[in-house]
Amino acid sequence: MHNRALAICTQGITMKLLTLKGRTLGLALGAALLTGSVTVPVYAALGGDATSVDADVQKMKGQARAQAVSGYTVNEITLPSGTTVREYVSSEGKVFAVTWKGPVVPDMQQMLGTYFEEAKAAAAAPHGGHNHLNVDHPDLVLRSGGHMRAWAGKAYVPSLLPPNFNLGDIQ
Amino acid sequence: MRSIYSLILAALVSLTVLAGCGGSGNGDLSTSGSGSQTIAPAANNVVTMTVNGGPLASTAPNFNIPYVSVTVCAHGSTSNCQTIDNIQVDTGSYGLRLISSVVSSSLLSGLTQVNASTGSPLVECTQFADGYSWGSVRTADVQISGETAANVPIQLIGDSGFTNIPGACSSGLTQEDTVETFGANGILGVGPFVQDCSTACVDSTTYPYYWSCPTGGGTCSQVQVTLAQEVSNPVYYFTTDNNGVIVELPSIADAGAASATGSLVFGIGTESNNALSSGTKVLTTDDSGYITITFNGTAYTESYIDSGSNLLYFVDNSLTQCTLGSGSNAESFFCPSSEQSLSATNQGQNGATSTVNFQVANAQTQLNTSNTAFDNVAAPNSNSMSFDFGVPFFYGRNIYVAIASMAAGGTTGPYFAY
Repeated sequence: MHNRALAICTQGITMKLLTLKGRTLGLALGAALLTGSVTVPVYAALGGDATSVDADVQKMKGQARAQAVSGYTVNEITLPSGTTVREYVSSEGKVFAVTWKGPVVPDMQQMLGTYFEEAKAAAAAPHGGHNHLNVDHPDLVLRSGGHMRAWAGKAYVPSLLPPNFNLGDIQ
Repeated sequence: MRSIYSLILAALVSLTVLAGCGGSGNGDLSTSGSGSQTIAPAANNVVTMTVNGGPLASTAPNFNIPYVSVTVCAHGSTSNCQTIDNIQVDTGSYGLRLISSVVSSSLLSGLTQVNASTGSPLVECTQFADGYSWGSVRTADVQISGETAANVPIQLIGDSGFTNIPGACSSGLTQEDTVETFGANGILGVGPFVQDCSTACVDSTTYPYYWSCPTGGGTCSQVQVTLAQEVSNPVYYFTTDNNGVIVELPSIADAGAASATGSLVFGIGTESNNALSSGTKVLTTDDSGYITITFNGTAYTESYIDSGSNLLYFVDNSLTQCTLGSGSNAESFFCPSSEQSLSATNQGQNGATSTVNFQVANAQTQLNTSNTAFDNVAAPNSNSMSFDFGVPFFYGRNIYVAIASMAAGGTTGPYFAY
């Protein structure tokens, strides 16, 4: 797993890092937006320790701006395919939620990290059709859906959500 | 009790179809001011379409999945052919994909392998929301009703020659290469576009779709392809009636139905049985197949209509949710204590609008029956900008899907109309 993650981080050199500055995310109500130059943990996996990839970021000379919102940070990355990935990092440095949207479903193993096998097992359980998948486990909530060349999804770990976090802010 | 109930419902559905009049009055979903529904009877451009438990009805029955039969022939042959049933009709994808295990050995060997620019076989990774399907690209003559698409690229999912699946494909949740994992013998993508990857896979390899795989194994490498090589909507390849389809399913009762039988009609405005009537609302889409649906005061700009979605999927923070199933199966639905009557306004990119009423019943109550057709089951959506009118929207309504750049009944696709 560790080797795989490193390999993907290397691929991430081609990733375009987008700033969230100025974007309207509809984030936490009344929160002071703290925009600054920070080291963005590129494509950290759900539940992972965001600081663990700082070394990879430095190796890639990656730097980007992210948006910190009252207790958490949202990093946005646009993949070469055009798919946008967002990761929500708590003040403790944990990725508590990830989202994706675009023409290509991103590498779900990289997105979901240690939760990948659990999501995979849920996807293998009988459900109708292939254009949606809803998973509601105590430790993992996942929504994946769309149609060909227009996919969107989100996943979060309930136990890692910041206090008083509004689930509607995962977009 | 289950079988008697099923038979009665099936009989009711059949009668409704035979009468040729689903009638919007008794349906849960009705267009304001729309007339009664007429489902096209058998014709050269009409194939029977059925919602039922599917190929796994006895072990893992599906619901709200429409199926048709498709005849596939080796190109140019009238004898090396096979009719395959339980093919899912999906307006959310483009192209015919068959599970290889249901294809006879003689037809398998008769389907010409498409080669990549490298000279090696072209193999595709098809992405879905819940997983991926991996298999070779072949050409075939595809016959549905009286229509034929000659020499069209299709995907043969799970064929034995290519088992070395690249990590960029297998990272997409679960592998769906068998009837058991796919829930159908194949899928017929008849959405509003032609190719499954379009120009993106011609211009670059940023989409992990197409791969060059050495014969006899070895590592596959991503390749660019031509549009003609891409797996494509067979309707576009028909010699006539090739500008789109109409998905026609009858109205069903609030309680659902054991099954529902309707028609998949080819062509729009090309025959006497596929005209756009004066009351039909034409909603054009953007290049992603999106329209805007306004619901509860919010405009969802990445919305769509999709026969490949077996529920209504939308955002609603006031409807009661419930988690059904246990363990790996646990998933959320909407479960209001009593059936809720709701409405939404659909708007095309052309500005045309249409307000529709729909109902959401308690999913737990509905799905706890043996029925396979429901017009009122819904679940939370994956995309907070999107409202997806899935199969429940289709009952009692003829849904037109026009292919991009094709003139269809006075409007050029891509569009949805009903």
